[in-house]
Amino acid sequence: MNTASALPMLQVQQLSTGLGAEGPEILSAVDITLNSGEVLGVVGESGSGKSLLALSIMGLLPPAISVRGGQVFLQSQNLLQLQAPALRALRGKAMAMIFQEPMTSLNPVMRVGQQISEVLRWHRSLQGEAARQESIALLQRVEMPDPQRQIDAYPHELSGGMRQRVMIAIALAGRPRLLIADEPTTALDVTIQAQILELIRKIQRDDGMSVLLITHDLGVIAEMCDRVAVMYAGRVVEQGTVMDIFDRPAHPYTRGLLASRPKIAAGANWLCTIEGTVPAVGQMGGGCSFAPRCKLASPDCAQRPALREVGPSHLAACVTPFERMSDPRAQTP
Amino acid sequence: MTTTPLIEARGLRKHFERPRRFLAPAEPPVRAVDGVDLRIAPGETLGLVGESGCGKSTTGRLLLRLIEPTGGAILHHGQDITRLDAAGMRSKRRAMQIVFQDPYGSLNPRMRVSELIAEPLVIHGVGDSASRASRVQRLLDLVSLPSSALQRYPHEFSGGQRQRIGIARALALEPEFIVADEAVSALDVSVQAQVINLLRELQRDLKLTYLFISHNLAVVRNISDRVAVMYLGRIVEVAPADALFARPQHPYTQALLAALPADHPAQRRTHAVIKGDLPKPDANGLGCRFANRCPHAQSQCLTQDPVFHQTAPGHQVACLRIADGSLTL
Repeated sequence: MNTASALPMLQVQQLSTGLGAEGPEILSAVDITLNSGEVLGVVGESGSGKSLLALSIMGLLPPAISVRGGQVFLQSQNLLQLQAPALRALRGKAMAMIFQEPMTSLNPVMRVGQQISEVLRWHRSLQGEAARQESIALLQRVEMPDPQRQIDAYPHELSGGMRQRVMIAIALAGRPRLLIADEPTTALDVTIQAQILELIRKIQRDDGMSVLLITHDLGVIAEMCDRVAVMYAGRVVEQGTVMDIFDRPAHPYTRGLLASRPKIAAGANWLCTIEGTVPAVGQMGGGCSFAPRCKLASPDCAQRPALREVGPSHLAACVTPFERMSDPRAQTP
Repeated sequence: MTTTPLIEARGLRKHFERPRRFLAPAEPPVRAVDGVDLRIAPGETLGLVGESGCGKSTTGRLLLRLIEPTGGAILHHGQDITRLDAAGMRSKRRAMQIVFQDPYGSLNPRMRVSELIAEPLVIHGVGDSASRASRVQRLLDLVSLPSSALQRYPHEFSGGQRQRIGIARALALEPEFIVADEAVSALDVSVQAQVINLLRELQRDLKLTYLFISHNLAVVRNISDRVAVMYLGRIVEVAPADALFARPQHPYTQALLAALPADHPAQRRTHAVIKGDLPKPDANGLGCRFANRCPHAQSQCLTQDPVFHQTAPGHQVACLRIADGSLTL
């Protein structure tokens, strides 16, 4: 990890968003820190708010959802205070994003090369042949076979894996410092997923890029991330190094998530489950949002627990992290 | 296996003709399933894995004759049901059911849960309305849904609960065989674990036989007794689950397992991943389907069809080079 630059690449502080001005809260006082040159994973189930977090950072929230409070710093710049033109100048240049479904996020009536050149023209003032050559170079970088020919392809002529390579080429076109990847391999087959993850990792290492990797898949987290933030019902419940999360999970939700995952090495074991379901937006009480499903819940959980340090750079939002790991109720499936 | 399989496929094929385009020459059909042999013993779970387009869902549908095969035979308790007429098939269908992936698309949104679960009973004329109501209640208990669910509509339930409704529907006619087609794939991991455990409990209590179709190898590992790996319309390897994951033989199975993300950050992938995209299943039907991506392919692999070769009891591999002993892994 890069300790030379003291300022984190991305810092989200107490970020809250909600539906309209009065509607229910969706993200609730979210804190995450992405250090320069590292891969931070954000893991959570559907409805945990992880994709919305990405959109908030990029300033791409749908009109119905508004930021209620908090700060988002890209290095020293507070993104939430920027006017639209200033944000547009950053988006695609300082920070870029790739999405889950490359078919719907690429323009179906534009050739691949034009879509890459658009970024080059906008952010790097490259025109004509220079833009075309740079587009080919970018396609080479994302290991697109036969880039001289594929630059003139339309998205529908490409496979899912190839489309995701194009998305990555577009994201890289502005030479971003921060890449936000929202479920980049979820729609792909496992052999193609492996290729794309490998590619993201290679580019991240070569460029020293910082990556915010959003996924529901703990396998992808294990494979790719330096540090991890676990989200549940619009809140970050735990944050730590990938080893902390897998070996010393402090929050009962993190422990439940890890235990409910089928593993090849575990064979035909009986899976642990988390009873109940994620609360709907607007149905979260004032206390710990996981308490209704938590086997260790106590009256103390009626107060919302703050993220606090439970180990070196390991944070958890639970009134009794670790303490009751030996509690037999924590072990029973 | 010496006992008669509950369900068996012999040389099963399904080719889909492609629409003719004006003045264009006819394109060859898509060989979605192209010579599949499999046997599932009573009470067993056979996992069927493979990537998109490999024909695993088509195989599941063919076994239930929800679609008609182009060739080959389907046997139920040794009886050929491939040519059974509608009336004959109807009685067979009571014994064979399917649970689909999408708990949103597979339940009629205008029907209450009580009607949804009772529908198969009504269609097959089972019991009167009073006995059906009590059966629906028992089914609801079986899948751990509260009685209050009966009067509600599918949209009022979460994905996991909807999948329980789908399972209750599939169980209504007391089938012996269930095809679970990506039945837990749309669910979050904590809910997925609940539904996997439920399927295992139901199998134990009701002596069910499953064909469990999934692209998720870890889920298949967890639930299956035996596993078959499919690639472009063919089964390339079949083995007891332990053996398949401990000693994968076919180069494709090995590539598939090597592509899985790590269970733990200390076990990250260090080896190169398999290159290339999945080809479309419309090849000329000659040779090994995996040959063009296989690191061990030789010229014979492009022209000669591999047949199953037994490498250990119950462990069969369709690879020419393993069969002739020139490739040992």
